[in-house]
Amino acid sequence: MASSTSGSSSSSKVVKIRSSDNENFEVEEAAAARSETIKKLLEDVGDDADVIPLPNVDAKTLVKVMEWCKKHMDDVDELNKEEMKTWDAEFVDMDQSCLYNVLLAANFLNIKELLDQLTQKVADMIKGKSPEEIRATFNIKNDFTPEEEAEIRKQNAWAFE
Amino acid sequence: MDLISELPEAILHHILNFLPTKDVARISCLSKTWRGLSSSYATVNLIQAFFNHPSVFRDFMNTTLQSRLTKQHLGVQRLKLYINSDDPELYNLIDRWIMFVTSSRRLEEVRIHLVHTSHWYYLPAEILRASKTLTTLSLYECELDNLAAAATSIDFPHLQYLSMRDIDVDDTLLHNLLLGCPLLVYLKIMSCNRLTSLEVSNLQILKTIKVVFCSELKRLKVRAPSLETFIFSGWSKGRCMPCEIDLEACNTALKSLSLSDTKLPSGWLQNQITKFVALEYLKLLRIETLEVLKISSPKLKRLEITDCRDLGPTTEIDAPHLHELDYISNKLPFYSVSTSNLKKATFWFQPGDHFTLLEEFLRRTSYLQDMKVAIVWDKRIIITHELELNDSVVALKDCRFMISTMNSADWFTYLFSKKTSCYWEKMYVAAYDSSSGFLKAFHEKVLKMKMEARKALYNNGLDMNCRGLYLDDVGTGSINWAEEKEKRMSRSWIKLLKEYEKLYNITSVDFKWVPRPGCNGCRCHICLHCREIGNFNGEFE
Repeated sequence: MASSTSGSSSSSKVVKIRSSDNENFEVEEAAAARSETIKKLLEDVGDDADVIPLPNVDAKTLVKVMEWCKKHMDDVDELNKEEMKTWDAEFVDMDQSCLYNVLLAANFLNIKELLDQLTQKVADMIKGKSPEEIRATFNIKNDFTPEEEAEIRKQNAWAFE
Repeated sequence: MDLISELPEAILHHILNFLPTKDVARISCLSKTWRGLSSSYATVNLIQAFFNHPSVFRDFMNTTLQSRLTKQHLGVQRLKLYINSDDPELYNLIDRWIMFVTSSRRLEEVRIHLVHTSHWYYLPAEILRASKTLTTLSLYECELDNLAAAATSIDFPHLQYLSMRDIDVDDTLLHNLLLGCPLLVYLKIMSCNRLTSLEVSNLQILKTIKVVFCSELKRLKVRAPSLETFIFSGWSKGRCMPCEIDLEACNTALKSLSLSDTKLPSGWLQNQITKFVALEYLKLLRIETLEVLKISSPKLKRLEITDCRDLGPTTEIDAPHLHELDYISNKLPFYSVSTSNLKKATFWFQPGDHFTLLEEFLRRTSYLQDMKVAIVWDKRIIITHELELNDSVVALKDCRFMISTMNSADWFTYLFSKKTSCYWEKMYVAAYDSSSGFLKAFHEKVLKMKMEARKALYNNGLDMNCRGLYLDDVGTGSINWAEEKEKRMSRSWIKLLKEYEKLYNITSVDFKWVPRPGCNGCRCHICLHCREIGNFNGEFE
């Protein structure tokens, strides 16, 4: 992803970050600083930072995360809230493996709002479903014996009413 | 491949935070990994409304406690109890739960919401054992008498969120309690009817204060330099209670001011608003004896005025940044709305004989594009997107008129929202052609409501937005003149419909509303049975 040219802040500072698979990216500082982890690293190294390595995030995931950070760079005012909501809903609509990678990255990079959006997305995939449906959605193997399962179901019978 | 179970436990717990208790319980039946996950989950959420019999709930509460006691080292971070009972045995169990969780060093959040009719529940003083770690405390019908003895030494150094509702707390105890919570950010006091005077002065970072329905409160003084939101309602048992409000030292940060059901000394509001230099949102609901209102506010963005019936026609609004204006009352008081940024404006009023005022108003606001108009009689409503003040319209002086600049989708959402609080029986949608965006937005809204109804049914009718009824069916057709006559609609109403029929394509819609099963027919955002259930983080009103 090249450094941003669009928007009002084209003259703003740019920082370099490097993914786990050694790809370099140039990102506006304001966007990168949405990540508390990067923000802290930037503070620590000061202005003479060369490239900030992010050993836990691969390029494909990093592109996704930075796309989000760029969109969420500025405070959203009342009028754009709806538009932003739609954008966010489309953003989190990705396949499961991608979703978990971005989730882990958001956790590592400490971007609370993104983490919340992604976990909320997973929660929505669980909400209101029966255990069978959840197992099917996420490919979870049932490793209970039939007796064990019956016992657990009995304990939580209220949740199945 | 099962990727989700590979995620770190902290992230999986984070996901559980977004789920209602019922789903968390179902998750424990997925696999061994998930079972371990839900029993190590740091939140205990016990909601009686899920259980058919109080005794079954009591057993569940007990067995959950026993199984937690065997894993004591894990501790509990959040305890939330929502109980509707007078059962002393259950109260005993609540005490035991509190003893247990307060022995944990990680307890951060306690919410105990009771509804009872005869026996009082007294919160054990042991709650103070957790005072050093608590950040959130929300109590509903829990008496604090046991704390009174230790009142002067109460110390909650990290408490950020305090909510008290229906608690028989007196001025001194509350004062002492607040002295011990220097880091409070959010304070809510609701229906605490023993309070007569409340002074908040030591809370340097308090952002929000909400004091509502405290029937005996005569004096409220807030000195909080960071205060951004102030909400007050004097409504109590159908009456509006006057209260002396002093916000002198909150001038610079206050962004949002909401006042309801009270009397204000003349000039107070105008005087105050000039001082609130950062004010962005102002809401006034049923302020008695408010006759004159001249608002001059540089940053004001949203203004809501509802049922301030004494408001005279000299109302002036000078707010260059105002972009949303919502006005509901018996008459139209505006001659002057000075703002060029107005994007969303909604007016609801009864024109009576003042159609000249309406004409004047329409002329002054002619820059507003894409007007929506609704003419309302009881539960019947005619909706169109233009308003010509011809004889037929002027004859409808007893109907209520709504005029709005919302877009079509927002407009239909608004018409079915709590704001209008109406379950429409009949709606006539008048559009130029049957393929207009206006009509499309209407059909989308109806479809959405039907989907929501089905979703709520799935959750046993437990739904945050439940208002007691849900949309069962919609019938669409053309105007049924016999029915209009049968309902004794006025001649001018029928005349207008006939005129509109020539001008527009009219879709006539019948709504059938039925009570939600499992709902007591109450407005469920108030009653314990329906509230909070789907609300994972407990950040309810």
